[in-house]
Amino acid sequence: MAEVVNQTSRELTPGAKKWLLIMLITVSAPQLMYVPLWLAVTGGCLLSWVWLTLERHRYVIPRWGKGVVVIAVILGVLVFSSQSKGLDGLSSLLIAGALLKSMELKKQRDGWVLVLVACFIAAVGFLFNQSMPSAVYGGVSLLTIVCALLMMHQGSTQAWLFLPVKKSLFMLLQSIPLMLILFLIFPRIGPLWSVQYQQSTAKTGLSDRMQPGDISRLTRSASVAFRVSFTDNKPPAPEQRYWRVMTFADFDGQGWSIADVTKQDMQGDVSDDDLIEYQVIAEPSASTWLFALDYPLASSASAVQRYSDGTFKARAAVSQRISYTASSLLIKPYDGHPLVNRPRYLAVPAAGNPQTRKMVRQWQQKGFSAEEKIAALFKNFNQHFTYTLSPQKLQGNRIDQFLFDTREGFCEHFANATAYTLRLAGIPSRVVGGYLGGEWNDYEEYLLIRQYEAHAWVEAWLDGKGWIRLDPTTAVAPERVIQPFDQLFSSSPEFMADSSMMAFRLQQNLAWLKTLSLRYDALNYNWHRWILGYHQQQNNLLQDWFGQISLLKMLLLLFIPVGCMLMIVFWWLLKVQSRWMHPVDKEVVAISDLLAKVSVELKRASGETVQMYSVRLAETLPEIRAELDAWSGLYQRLRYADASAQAEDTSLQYHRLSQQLMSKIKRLGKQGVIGKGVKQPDVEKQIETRVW
Amino acid sequence: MRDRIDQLVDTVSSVVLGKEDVVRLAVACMLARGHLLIEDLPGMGKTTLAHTLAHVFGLEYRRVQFTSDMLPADILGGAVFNQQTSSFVYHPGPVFTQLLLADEINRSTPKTQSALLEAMEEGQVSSEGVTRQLPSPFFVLATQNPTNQFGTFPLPESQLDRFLMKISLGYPDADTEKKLLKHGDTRSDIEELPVCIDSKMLQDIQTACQQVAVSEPVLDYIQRLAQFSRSSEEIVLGLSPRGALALIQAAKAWAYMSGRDFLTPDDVQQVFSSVVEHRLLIRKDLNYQADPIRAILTKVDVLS
Repeated sequence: MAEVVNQTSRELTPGAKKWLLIMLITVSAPQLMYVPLWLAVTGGCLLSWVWLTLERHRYVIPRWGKGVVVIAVILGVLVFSSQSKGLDGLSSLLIAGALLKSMELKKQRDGWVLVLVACFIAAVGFLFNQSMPSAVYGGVSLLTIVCALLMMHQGSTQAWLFLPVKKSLFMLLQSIPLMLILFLIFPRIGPLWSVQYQQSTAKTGLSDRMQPGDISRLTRSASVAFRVSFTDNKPPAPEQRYWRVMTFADFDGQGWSIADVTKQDMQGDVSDDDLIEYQVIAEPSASTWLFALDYPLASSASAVQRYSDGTFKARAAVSQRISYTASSLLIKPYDGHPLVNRPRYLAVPAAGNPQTRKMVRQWQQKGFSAEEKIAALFKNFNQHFTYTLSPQKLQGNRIDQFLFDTREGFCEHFANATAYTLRLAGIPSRVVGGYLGGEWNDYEEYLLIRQYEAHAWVEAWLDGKGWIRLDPTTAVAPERVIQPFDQLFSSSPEFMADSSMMAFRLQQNLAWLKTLSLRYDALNYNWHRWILGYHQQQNNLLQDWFGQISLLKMLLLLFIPVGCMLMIVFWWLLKVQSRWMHPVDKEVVAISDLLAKVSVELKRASGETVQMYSVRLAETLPEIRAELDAWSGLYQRLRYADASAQAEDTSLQYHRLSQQLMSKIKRLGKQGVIGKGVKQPDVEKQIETRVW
Repeated sequence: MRDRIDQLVDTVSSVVLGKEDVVRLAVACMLARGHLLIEDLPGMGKTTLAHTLAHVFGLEYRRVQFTSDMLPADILGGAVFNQQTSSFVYHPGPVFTQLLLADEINRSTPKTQSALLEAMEEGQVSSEGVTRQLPSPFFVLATQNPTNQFGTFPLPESQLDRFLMKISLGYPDADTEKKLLKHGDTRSDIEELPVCIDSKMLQDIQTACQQVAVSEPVLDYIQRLAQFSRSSEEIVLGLSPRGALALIQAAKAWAYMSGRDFLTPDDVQQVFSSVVEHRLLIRKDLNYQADPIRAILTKVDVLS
């Protein structure tokens, strides 16, 4: 107990303090963008000051100064964290606490507190970011933490920079097997509490209301929406990559809003050659929408729910990356069910858009069938319309304006006008929101869908055929469907006008950069799939390896290796008693062991002093008597003489002499000199020569 | 000064023949300011050794033959009525000397034995309410007969503890004995021996012995020895901390005599038996072949 108290109250060495500061900086650096600016600045000043006091002892912060800083920072952080709902507050609180603690780094105990807080800060960092670079950075943070711990318990202040790095790197490498075992088999336990994520701010290409004409320019984001891998590693043709996310059924004259839909059972009984099975890894979106290839049939994941409009939704908002498997049909045969709630898909406001109404009346008068009406509309689009990402704003009778005046727009405009016109013409229709396209990554064989590939199209109900997909955009710009979006628009200034797309544009123009980005994304994909999403594979993997897995087996699997490891450690600790030797003593043991190989009798007995031993050896090995005498003399001086009288070169000399002795002994052993006529090692007798 | 010590040892050895090792130990004991107990059968030369030592150190010495009817006052002295002044006058006993030869100390009763206790420990005598300082240096060289002899009162453990060393001479070997027989009684020669070390030099040497450096490894070794003696099942009572201190004290003197100013485990091993043996209580009911004290030295590793 006394020893523990002693340790905690031990002063920290300057080297340890420096490492603690480095640790603090490293650990909190990635969270700088989440803490308020003033805290970052104050922290920087504080840490530099503390470092300065280490270098020069003059600039000690006065007591009242410390008090002012502590109160100010605590107040500031409290105000900040009361205003922010999410993790920012927590992270600021932690970092501020650690920063303030760094002002009173004196004892070992302070160091421990700081190390623990640093571990926590590093862990909190993963709540903000779980990407591969952040994981690598987490490793670096861990390294600095271990370094700081090492320095805290090491007396020497020399080589404070690189030696601990080397040592802790070695320690961390040693811990890798354990890490792997835990990663592979430790049961994934659900979170005990949840924290608010603030990732809903991510730009998406979709919103729950579609109102074309409101915005003159589409916000485009190159961020990833989701990734898909296919069971047969073959993506569908580009014109079939319609990713269904939501349907808009209600039109109020201005825009479309999402229909309330009922849940529906999965259609799992379809067994068709055309069935496409795939796995989706969806990025967090803070909404419940999920992505499925048109037409979705079923998903095996329990978190996924199918709805009557053929879309998938998660049961809870997607706040973390999720992965699910699903199956779809590219061409869905009509199942013969009549349309439920037909008036809903025909509802339009009673008035407005007179020109469009007039056009539809003309069709009716001509006696067009439903197909003919659609064909007429699409022909019109094809001949007179242009596809642009920056159309003019629309006001008033928007559809009239679009169809007969501006005649330009992007997918939403066309979908909007088509669905409205079809409804007027008596064809039930709805707008479908989702994504079109995707970039195929050859390295890892998955399809990457970005936010800017968001798309809208129309579904019309044709009696006897069911819901039919109509994409008016194909009529205007067929290349939009076939070609990758970015290739199609990379040259058009409006697509790239967004500053966030600049880097992206550069990437698209440079071939090697594009390859690199594909490679990186492939790596990222694997990261998400195998590391972050491992808990979904864990059960399957473990089942493959160990058969039907039960909790008992899992625990055994966990505890048997851990038990074995502990046994090894225990054994090592028992053995280590003889190992913790003074380096000078070690060389005596080494020489004794070397001689024992030749003749057991020449081994040093435990009660034999080095002096006695060397005299005994000299008797059997007169060839090296001089060396032995010098050696034992040096030994005695090194180990037993007054410490102040010991010079550095004495120990060097001793070491050199030991080496010399060993090589001589080896040579003599080879010549067969040793071992002949060895004196009987009667230590008892020897000790008897002591005076009694 | 070391050559003077060697000379002294040689001188004593010329009287106590063939026992140079024991002589060295006895000298070391005195250099370490310790009291010496010589245990042996009668006629082995105990008294001769004591006499010689007293003489070559040039110390003022007195000899007291302990008997069973002896009283403390016989050693310490007492008040005697002076008829002329009609008052009691303190007459100092034989203890007021630099070197007290307590011959056959275990022949006297425990009461008398204890009278020596304060003198040995504190260097002073309290009698009639007055404390009187003994001269410095003050040594007690006691001889005793083996305790299984008739008419002996074994010294209590507390008293034994006050002797730094207990040594025994043993029979001389054949050559020495023949020489001894040839020369006859050498006791008369003692008076003619030179004084090798005077009391001034003795004090210097004693100070120098005190200053011999003791390094951590040696302290560890001594601690391990003590620890082992306590956990050994052949030993009922292990070495006390005071015993361990005594071991260091004696070993320092030995190191000094060996010409070193630092202590090595060799020094400790050399003095170990004589310092430790009388402080341990060795189990007697078991018939061990090996000497348990020797076993401590062989079993405790010198290197940690």
